[in-house]
Amino acid sequence: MPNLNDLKKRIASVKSTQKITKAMKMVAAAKLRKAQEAAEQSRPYSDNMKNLMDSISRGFISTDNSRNLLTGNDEDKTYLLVLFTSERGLCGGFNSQISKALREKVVELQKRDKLVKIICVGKKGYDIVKRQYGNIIVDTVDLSAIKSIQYNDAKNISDKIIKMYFDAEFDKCLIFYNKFKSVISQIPTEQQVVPAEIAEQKNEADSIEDNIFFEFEPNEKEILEELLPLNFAVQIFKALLESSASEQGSRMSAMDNASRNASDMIDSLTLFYNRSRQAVITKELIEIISGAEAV
Amino acid sequence: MSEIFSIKLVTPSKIFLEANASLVTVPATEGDIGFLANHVSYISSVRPGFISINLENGGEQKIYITEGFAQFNANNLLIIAVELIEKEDLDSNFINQKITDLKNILATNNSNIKIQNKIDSLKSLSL
Repeated sequence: MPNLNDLKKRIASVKSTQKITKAMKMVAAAKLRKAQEAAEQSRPYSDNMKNLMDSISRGFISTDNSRNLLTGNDEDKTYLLVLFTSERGLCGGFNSQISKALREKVVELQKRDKLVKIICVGKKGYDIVKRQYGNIIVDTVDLSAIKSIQYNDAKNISDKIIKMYFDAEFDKCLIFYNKFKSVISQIPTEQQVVPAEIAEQKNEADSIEDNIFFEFEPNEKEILEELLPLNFAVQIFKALLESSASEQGSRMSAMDNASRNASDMIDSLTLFYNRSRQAVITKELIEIISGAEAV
Repeated sequence: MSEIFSIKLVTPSKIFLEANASLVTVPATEGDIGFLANHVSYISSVRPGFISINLENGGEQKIYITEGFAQFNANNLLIIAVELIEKEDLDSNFINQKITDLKNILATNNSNIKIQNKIDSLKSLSL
């Protein structure tokens, strides 16, 4: 028979855990709303940027073989994988599921004799992949000091990556992040950013709509030179925002589950506690009665 | 009354302005361009400066742009910029700070003519 006091302590400790998980759930819900808003507000920018990219790059054919972000450099040797994770834990399968996607890609690329480099954005992802791939992680980005993601944070990361590209440190760049679908569902997403993925519109190109002839100033090439880094930064920005919304969503549902588990546990422990207490009382009564009878 | 067309100014954090205008002057890289309704389809990069917008109701609005792109198509003018600020909210410290930042980039990135041009256009701004 477990000690009644011990049971009481256990119930108290589960209750306090439940308080914490409930509070975390509320905080995550509030942050989620903010993160979703931020993601929504950035959407017109990225959509319009994409349209602009499409209308410029459609007719553009690179004439020289120099490195550029649009068409790549025809080489396919070194891959840079950028992993977006959170800075904090306790968010369910958020970090492990995206890290798993990355790991599968690394295995696949290495099988094809490609050179792989990894950049980790967020501490948790780094913690997960460093044991296995510590030697190919070239950089980590710490976002723990940042409360809400600004465009400049994305720009810093993209500047770094673009510099690496022009220093010929990689040929292709893929980013891995959790796309926010709903509170209970985040989709691990792999997206190629260098060379830029332009929607194939060759079939539609015949329609009048797509054949708008633009005049360019200064000229297509120079505009592209300025536009591509911006476009790249936008992709990173989008990934950061999606990832942070997903993180909060994932944390919210994880904490919701934890709170529910805790209340189940409290229920069963309380039942057990009451039964044990009643058993003790019954036992004492029996002892008194049988003592009285013996006299 | 001159014809009007729709304009949209977007930054990464929000849609800055959506309105109808009769004339918009944009500081493009190779000189200012004035957009009137039914302008030919056009894409241009933008240098630091002020976008001036003659609104449909006759009002005029001036907005500072650090850099970005303008696209005109089918009576829609779209301006994509990293940073947009109302002229009234701007002070000279901000401009000076931008110039210093660019000079720092210029120092590490030896003699980039584009950055030099940006500094020049920032310097010529009058508040």
